Amino acid sequence: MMNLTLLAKELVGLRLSIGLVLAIHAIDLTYRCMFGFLDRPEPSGSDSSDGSDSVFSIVILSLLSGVVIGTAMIGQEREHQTLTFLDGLPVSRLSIFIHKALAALMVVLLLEGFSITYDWFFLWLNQDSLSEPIDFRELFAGFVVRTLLTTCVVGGAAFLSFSRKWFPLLLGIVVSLLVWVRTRGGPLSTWLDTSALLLPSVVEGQVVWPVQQMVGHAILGTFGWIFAARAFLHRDGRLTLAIERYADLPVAGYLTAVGYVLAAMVWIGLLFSLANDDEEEVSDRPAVTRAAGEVASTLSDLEQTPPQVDAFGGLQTESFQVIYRRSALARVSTLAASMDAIHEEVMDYFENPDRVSGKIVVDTGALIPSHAAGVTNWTKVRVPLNQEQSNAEFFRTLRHEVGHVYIERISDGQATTHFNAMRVFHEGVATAVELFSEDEETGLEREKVERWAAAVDSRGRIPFPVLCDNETLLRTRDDSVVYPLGYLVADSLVEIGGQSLPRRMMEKLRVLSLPAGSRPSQVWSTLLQQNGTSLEMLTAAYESRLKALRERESVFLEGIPRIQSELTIESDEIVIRAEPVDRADNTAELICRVEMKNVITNELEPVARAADGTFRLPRERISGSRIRFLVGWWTPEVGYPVFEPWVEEKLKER
Amino acid sequence: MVIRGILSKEFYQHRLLLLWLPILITCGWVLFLGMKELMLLGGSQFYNLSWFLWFIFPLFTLLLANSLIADEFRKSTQLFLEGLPVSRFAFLAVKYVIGMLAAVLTALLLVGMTSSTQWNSEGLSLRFALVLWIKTLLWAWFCWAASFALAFLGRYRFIIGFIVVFTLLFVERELEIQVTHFGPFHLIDEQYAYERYEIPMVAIGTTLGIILLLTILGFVFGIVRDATLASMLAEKMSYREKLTMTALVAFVLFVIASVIERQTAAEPLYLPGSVDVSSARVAVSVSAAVSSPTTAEMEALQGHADSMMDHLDEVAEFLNIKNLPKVFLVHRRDFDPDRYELGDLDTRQGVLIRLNAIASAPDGERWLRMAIRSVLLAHQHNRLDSDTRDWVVTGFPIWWLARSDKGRIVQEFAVANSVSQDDASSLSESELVRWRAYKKRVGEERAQLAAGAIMFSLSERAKAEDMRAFLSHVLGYEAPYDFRATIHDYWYSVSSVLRATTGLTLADLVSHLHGTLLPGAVGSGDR
Repeated sequence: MMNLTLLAKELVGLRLSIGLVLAIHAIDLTYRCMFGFLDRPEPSGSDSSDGSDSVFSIVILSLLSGVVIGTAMIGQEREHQTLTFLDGLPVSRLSIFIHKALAALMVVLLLEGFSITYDWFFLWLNQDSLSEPIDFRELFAGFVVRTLLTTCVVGGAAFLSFSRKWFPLLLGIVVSLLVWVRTRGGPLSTWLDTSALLLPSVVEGQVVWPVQQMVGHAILGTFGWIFAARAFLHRDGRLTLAIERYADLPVAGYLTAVGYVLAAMVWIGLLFSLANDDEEEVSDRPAVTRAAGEVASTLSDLEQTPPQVDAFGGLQTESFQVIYRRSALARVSTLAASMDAIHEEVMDYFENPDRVSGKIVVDTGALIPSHAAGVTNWTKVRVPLNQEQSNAEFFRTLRHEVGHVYIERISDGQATTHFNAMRVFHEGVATAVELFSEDEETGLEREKVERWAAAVDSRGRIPFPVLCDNETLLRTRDDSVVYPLGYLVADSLVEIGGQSLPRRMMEKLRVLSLPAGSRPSQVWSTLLQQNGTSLEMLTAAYESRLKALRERESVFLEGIPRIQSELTIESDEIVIRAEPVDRADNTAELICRVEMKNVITNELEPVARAADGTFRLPRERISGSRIRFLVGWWTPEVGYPVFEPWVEEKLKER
Repeated sequence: MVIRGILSKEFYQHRLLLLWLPILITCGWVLFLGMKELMLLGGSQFYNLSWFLWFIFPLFTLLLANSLIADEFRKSTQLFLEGLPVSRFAFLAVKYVIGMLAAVLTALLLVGMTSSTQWNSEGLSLRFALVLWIKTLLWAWFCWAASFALAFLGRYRFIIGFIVVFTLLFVERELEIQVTHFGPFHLIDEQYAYERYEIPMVAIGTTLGIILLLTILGFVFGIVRDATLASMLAEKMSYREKLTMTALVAFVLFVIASVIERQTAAEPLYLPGSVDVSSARVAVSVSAAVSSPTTAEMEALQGHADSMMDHLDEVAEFLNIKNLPKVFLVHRRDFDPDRYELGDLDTRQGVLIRLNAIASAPDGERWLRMAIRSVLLAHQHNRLDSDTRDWVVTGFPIWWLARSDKGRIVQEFAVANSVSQDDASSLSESELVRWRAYKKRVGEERAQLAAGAIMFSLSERAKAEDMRAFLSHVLGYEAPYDFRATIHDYWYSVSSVLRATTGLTLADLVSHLHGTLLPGAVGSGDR
């Protein structure tokens, strides 16, 4: 029997949760109002995001509102000691719980309804005559699945809230488990794929409901609700009393403290595993010439083959401290004899900057991501030795990495602080340092890198404002383009401001202390301006250099294929047919990489070519209804993969 | 003697915490060592350690301070200590020293363990070890001092802690003060695991200063008004208070952040070797994107600067615009005569246009059309580039430059329409409010001519001063860089402004164009 007074009391009890969620929207609205125009997110021309931000905010908002409502549902009664009062009323505990659940559901419906209306308002405000009409079915589908998701979270949070101060830890563990299931793959991960719930799509007028995921989450949420009810009803609230007794124990405070520390560790670990923090991977040099099939680029499958267990040794030259595995002593001794000369070459490139105080550490036995040949962190360089690598290759890599060391040292770490703006500088100048040698082999490598640049440019001009904005660049092209194009930028810098300009720019970056949130082209403009030149001069020099290269390599470029791709779904497999459209080069090997969308990060995964020449991967690997992939080719004349711009398509069937 | 008693009491009371928390922290650190992604990124266990010190260690000191200080005041057990024959300062000092020692020794234990396992594989030298120990010790002390001061703020300690962290993040991102390169934060930044030689004396000095300040602050909180402030603040916060405070603080912080960000002006742009001319309303800066421009190029630049300033000055005066955005023209030798390219500037910085100054005439009509349109767009932060206003900002420069040559544009539009065999000529009233779709349908060139033709239609139908009022209202509006511009544009739509200033409707303009100016053209029915 519905008791309206009780329901009203429960709704009033949840009013602060409603207030909190409304406050979040109010903050968002205030932010939009103060920052720019409500009907234009980016008035000054910078690129808008690819939508992953909105997906992220949906997850956060659903999780947050679910958790707030779930904990407030029962936690408030406990805190105010009002449960005893409720027990005195002529209503059963079951009835109280049902009313609580109903009130929570009504609040969820209200808040999700409000969120959808809020989203619709901004969609409507941003409509113009070229926009697709607002699809109310899509909005409605979004409302349904988000309501389902939040309801599940409320149930789970209500149950976990019985653990009181251990709640953050338990919630962290549950979320970690879900993420673990998701990353582990298999059928369970498909059932519990939350990202498929976030943006349901409408294909040919029909809503594609993620039924499997809805059922999976509904089952999980139902368990949460059942457990919450069980805990609330258990012997008329004995569980609550037992937990209160536990709180009175002398060690309870310490155990709670332990719980907080563990919770922090679990959440940090969780966020880290989700984020993988690819931004930190500042200073790596791409692995030298490799066959296309070997190309990998996700951190999870990256590390080089773990080296055998071996003792470490160290030797010192004038400029370097070399760490090596004892088994590689003979080779390291030979290499070390020439290392100081490498250091001098780098010093020459930068026109004698202040020497690195102490020694640069070269670790030849460390692990690094497998798509890189070397990695630099401040004054430590990791260049693992391997059998296939020639000494010349090792020295080129070392020059590249020491170039990074000097960029970091001269800028006092500011080049990393402004990673988004300076990545192309970092990699470009380091590549220029690597190729700053007059020997024949380096000359040939230089020619390859220049050909690589021409090939990349032939697949679509990348304007400089995009090139110097790493986040925008990665939405447009594959991330390796910063090496050849960055090399040309470094060359152009020398052309407009002399050999010392790269060093002078870093010196200015150190003293200027620009805000970390500065626009990338603004950072470049300021640095060049401060050195008596301008971004315009650089752009002009860079573009004319590219034009000259395109002319020089015209014969080669005419011979390489332009690739067209077609995407279909065949019996639960995504099939990408990549075909050369205008010309066929027998030496060009076709390659493909697919973006694996995570809630927070996007990872690239190479897809092997099947015997029939197509690229296939199981449908279940891609969550949601869209796929982004790169197709390209690899030839020995370039030695590095060259990709067409990103392709984004809707997956039409499930 | 009494001090020894207090020491024993503290050790006895917090024995579990002082024993188990360091052990737990150490276990946590061992777990952290196993984080493969971190190890791959940093290539050093000290890198993992720096992360641990950043994120986990402050929690340890917060818990320590919570137990040693905040709990004491919350449960009012400090009253027993006050009954003893020692000053309040003395028993606070005992707590401070115990906490500091626990924090510092735990941190040093972590470095010691890492160093001992990584001595060979990290090539550890005594100097490197010393640098690491100094940095870690000071960081641990700083964390403790901050937690100590915060602990006296009782139930507001988390909110104030949150405000401090948010403020630091904001300052790091938006202002020219880099928190991560400052004082204690510099000690465990990205260089922590790698800097083997340099002892950061400045950061050490700053950190010591901050530690001293925080310590004094903590003692002041603990002693002031017979510690009643700390006791008062120590009362537990209710659920409602927690939610209200969180929402309130978040809201206020966002508003403050937004206001500060809005006031941060875009960096002004200077081009080296530029020719600058300016008037009261317009500033033009012209330069060559080459290191040593020739005399001919310099003359061409001067010509462009003067011409651009004159034209824009006239436009600004006609439209009652007080200040147009600064215009930067950049000469590019590699550009074809008809190639003009817009640069990537914030509209608050101005407009940058690349062109070949030698090959393109300063008074070229096509060039001036493009330049005037771009400047007017930037003047309203690109808001005129919309469905309803684009025809005005596109048509105005065409009409303005050809106003003495009445009919030419209309004629060109008629010719363009007659050449095309589709129904594109049927420009209708509704297309004036769906200009982007129209532009896509007929193409950029014809849409421009159509906009020009409509403007001529307006000039024929409206009185000169009414037309000027209309254009001034639409194009001369000084759009603020926030939501007010959105509201203005919805409130003052083009059709309502047209009606208010000239008494005409969009339909009048279209029918006049088709009926009078283009008598032979295809009909003007609404699509």
